Amino acid sequence: MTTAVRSCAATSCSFNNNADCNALAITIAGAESQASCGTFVQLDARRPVTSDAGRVGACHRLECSYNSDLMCTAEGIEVTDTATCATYTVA
Amino acid sequence: MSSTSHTSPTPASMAANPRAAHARSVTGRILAGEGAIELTAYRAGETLSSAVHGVSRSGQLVVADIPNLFHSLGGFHTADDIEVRADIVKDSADHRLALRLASLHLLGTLRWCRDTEEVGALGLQGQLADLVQDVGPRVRVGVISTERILLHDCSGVTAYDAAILADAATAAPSTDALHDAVMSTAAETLADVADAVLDDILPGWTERLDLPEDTSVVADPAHCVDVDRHCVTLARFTGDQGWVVQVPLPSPAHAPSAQDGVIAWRHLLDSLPARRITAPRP
Repeated sequence: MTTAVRSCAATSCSFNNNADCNALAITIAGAESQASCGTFVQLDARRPVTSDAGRVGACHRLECSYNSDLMCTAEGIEVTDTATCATYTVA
Repeated sequence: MSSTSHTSPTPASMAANPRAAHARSVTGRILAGEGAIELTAYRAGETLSSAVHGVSRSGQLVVADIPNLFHSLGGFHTADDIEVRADIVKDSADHRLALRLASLHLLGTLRWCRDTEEVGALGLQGQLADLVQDVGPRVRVGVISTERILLHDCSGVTAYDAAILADAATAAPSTDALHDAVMSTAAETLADVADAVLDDILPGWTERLDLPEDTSVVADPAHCVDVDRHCVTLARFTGDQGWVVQVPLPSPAHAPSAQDGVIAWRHLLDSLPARRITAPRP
């Protein structure tokens, strides 16, 4: 199962299209306590675990209760206007 | 990002599982000190991004930081064990290209050493040993215990158990000379190498790069993004399309020396067909 990006409010991102994510797949990363979208930042050679558009390709927040070996197991996530994952939860 | 393997003719020394060998090599290099580590005490919401890392001779993942020089350790200033997530990111060797090549991720427990005797017993090497020798007891040194390490790179996610730390503790042959040789190769020649893999003339693997509309981040038709003793990784751009191209290097049968990689690279360049006029790929 791969996780859909249900909505993304980061309208300044070049992959954003009317609150939808047009990236092939996104990577959730981010510094400090913010689980943020890493696809927003730069080119990324790391292959996502899915090739479906608008999906969570990988999540580096290993401590999140939805994380299984860098794969997001949540039904869907929401990305805020500051490109952070609102679904992130520490077990 | 799509994945394509171009496997003929495969160098004999990497025939068993060349991609796995390369992934293991990259993991070892990153654990041994390449890339930038960020530690997150995820329960406290604290991050430490100024540390350096490496593997001790006994195969322990070690971090070192100098608190009170530019910053304090904040929530990391404690005698208790700390649950941490460690992320080590490795970016393109060519600094003109903002490209994240690979990252390592692990959950573990960080415990700071209590005194210099405990630090000495670790058997530090590389940049960690240099730092401790240069700065002395003001360096805070800690050990991260972990059971599982995940590499995320252009071949996907690869999981390793802690035994890979022992592998990383063994010094690999230097690739500095090979690195210099590849980095000093003209961008057009690198593009020819990448095209030879894409066209099945040379063995290798290719991955499509997900490019945003703004491609001003790309300066040249090809960039060197990593040099490993097993293979050279390039980024190739034509028009609005991009690929990561990995070109395996044939290894000598005897124990590799620092110059063997350079010789292999030169042979690879010599084997290229005559320079073609590069056109946007279909």
